[in-house]
Amino acid sequence: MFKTLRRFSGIQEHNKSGTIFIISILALLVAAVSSAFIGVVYISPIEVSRIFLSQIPLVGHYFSAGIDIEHQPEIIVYLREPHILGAVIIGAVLGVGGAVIQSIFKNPITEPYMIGISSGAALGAVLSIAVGLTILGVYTLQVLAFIFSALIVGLIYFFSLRSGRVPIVYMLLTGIAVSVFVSSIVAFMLYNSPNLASTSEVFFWLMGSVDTITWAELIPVALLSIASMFILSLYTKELDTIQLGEDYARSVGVKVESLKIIALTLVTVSVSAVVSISGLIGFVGLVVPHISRLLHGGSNRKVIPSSAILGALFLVLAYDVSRLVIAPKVVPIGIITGMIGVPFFIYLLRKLAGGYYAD
Amino acid sequence: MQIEVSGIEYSVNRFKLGPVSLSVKGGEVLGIGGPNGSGKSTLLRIMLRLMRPTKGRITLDGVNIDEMSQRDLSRKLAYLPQNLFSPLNLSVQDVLLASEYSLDKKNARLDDIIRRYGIEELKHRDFNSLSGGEKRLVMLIGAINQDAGAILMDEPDTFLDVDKEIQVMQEIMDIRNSGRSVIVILHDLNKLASICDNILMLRSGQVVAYGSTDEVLVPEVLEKMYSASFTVERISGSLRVDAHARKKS
Ligand SMILES: Nc1ncnc2c1ncn2[C@@H]1O[C@H](COP(=O)(O)OP(=O)(O)O)[C@@H](O)[C@H]1O
Ligand SMILES: [Mg+2]
Repeated sequence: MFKTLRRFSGIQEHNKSGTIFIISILALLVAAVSSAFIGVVYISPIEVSRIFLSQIPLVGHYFSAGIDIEHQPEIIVYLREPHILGAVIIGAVLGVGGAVIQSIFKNPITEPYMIGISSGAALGAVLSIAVGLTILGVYTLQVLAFIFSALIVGLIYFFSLRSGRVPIVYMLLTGIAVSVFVSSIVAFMLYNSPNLASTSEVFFWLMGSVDTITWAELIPVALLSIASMFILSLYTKELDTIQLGEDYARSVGVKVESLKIIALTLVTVSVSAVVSISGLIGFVGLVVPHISRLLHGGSNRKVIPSSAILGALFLVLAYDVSRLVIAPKVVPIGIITGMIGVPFFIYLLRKLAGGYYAD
Repeated sequence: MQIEVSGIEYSVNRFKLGPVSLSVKGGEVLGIGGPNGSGKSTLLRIMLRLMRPTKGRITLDGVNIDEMSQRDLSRKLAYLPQNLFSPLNLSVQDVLLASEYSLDKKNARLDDIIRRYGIEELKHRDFNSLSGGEKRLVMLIGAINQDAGAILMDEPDTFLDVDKEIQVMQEIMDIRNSGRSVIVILHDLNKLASICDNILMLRSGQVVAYGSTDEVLVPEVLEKMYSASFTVERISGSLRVDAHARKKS
């Protein structure tokens, strides 16, 4: 498979890139729609199609007549649809976040979690349950995960400030150090309260899972995510330039420090938002931008949209696997992405070491 | 464009640069020479506002660079760094697109310039897969494409083969003749001699000599800079510098 990928990337013709985009968009559509046909409860494909069609405004009621079996519409509309759409949004955000973070850090082995998002979100999530906070209603965990994630990234950013600038290697090292520190606190809290570790909510959150996502949490997260990804997509030129070094970017007129603040803020907001509802889904942000670069070359004009599409596709497929592998049980999706992602990443690394990324 | 540098000083660890003052007019080439570690790159980076000097000021057409926006500065000064690395596989075309970030009329010129330099076959290559010399050429084309009032070049001649070297030196003369300014760091004294109007010589961060090419490229100055001995002769109007190992006395 990689030979084909590399042959594509070596030629980098516009129309080839366009064809790959069309194929990946179609693949995502097919995967997302057909995912609704898979599930713990068997619902016949005809019923699923009818339920789909019945949701279309204005003409939907023509299709709802035949649906008579109890709860089936609810399963599709309130469970499968938000889970699949959740996987799409989360995958897209992690893919785009990975592409942006790798550009800013000029480093192919970085991902959004490295700037403190994952450890901060975990702290918020575990804290909400350990302390038994309910001030924010049923979504206390999600809100605290989001707030702590943003807080820890902010903390790392300010720790890294050196006379008005944030040297990016410094921020990376600070991020790793602070993340280890915060993760230790999380581990201590888990260790210290035995009933906490077994609380299924925390367990599923730490494993990463889209199975609990509801429309009520998905909608605000999706809006934040789409807005962030849209704004990030306006900065592809700047993000290409900063890959060549901050000094070079400045010399061609890019306001590097503002770019870093804007891009880090948008990545933090969108990734924290999706992590707050799904927990820690690993390796999407690391691997997907690389696949995009192999397919389309290095420019973010293509890498960012491609990472959104392929991230979404990857996560939808991972969700299908997670529901099929030991059906009727559903495996937390983070376990699946790790199981697929890690071997794939090691394979990728060996390929990279074989010359593609060698300097 | 008029570049004025007055009384620039900078220090990092035990290295101290300056005070350095210099001025460059439009259509003028200033060469900067000196041994490794003498502060040439540092001086260039301070002029580009990539580092802040501890003292002194730099003005471009009378405007202090501290008061200019990043975009305005990039319209005045283009930078050819000592090296450029693309860790995430930008193509040659992407690198050249980056160079015209501040330009209003984009893309239109890029294909022209790619054709003019005969690098069509490099256009879609991964920048990192180029040879050292090809990279330097692409970077120079990028710096020219930026269309700034002056180009500041840090050792543009490294890794170049004979043909490309002649091409690059000719290019510098073309930029000069188009009324733009060039500040260029070069080690090769004969290249300095052949393209520079003025030369500034640095050693351990101190200005050893600054003046016209004829004034600076003399054995007395060169022997203060390097531990070789020098002969300088004028052959059919141009200077020729030869270095020899100094006899032990
Ligand atoms: N970031 C830095 N930290 C410490 N010393 C530096 C740094 N950058 C440059 N120097 C020192 O400043 C001096 C001048 O460096 P440079 O301007 O690169 O010299 P040149 O370009 O003339 O070879 C050298 O002694 C170098 O070691
Ligand atoms: Mg140097």
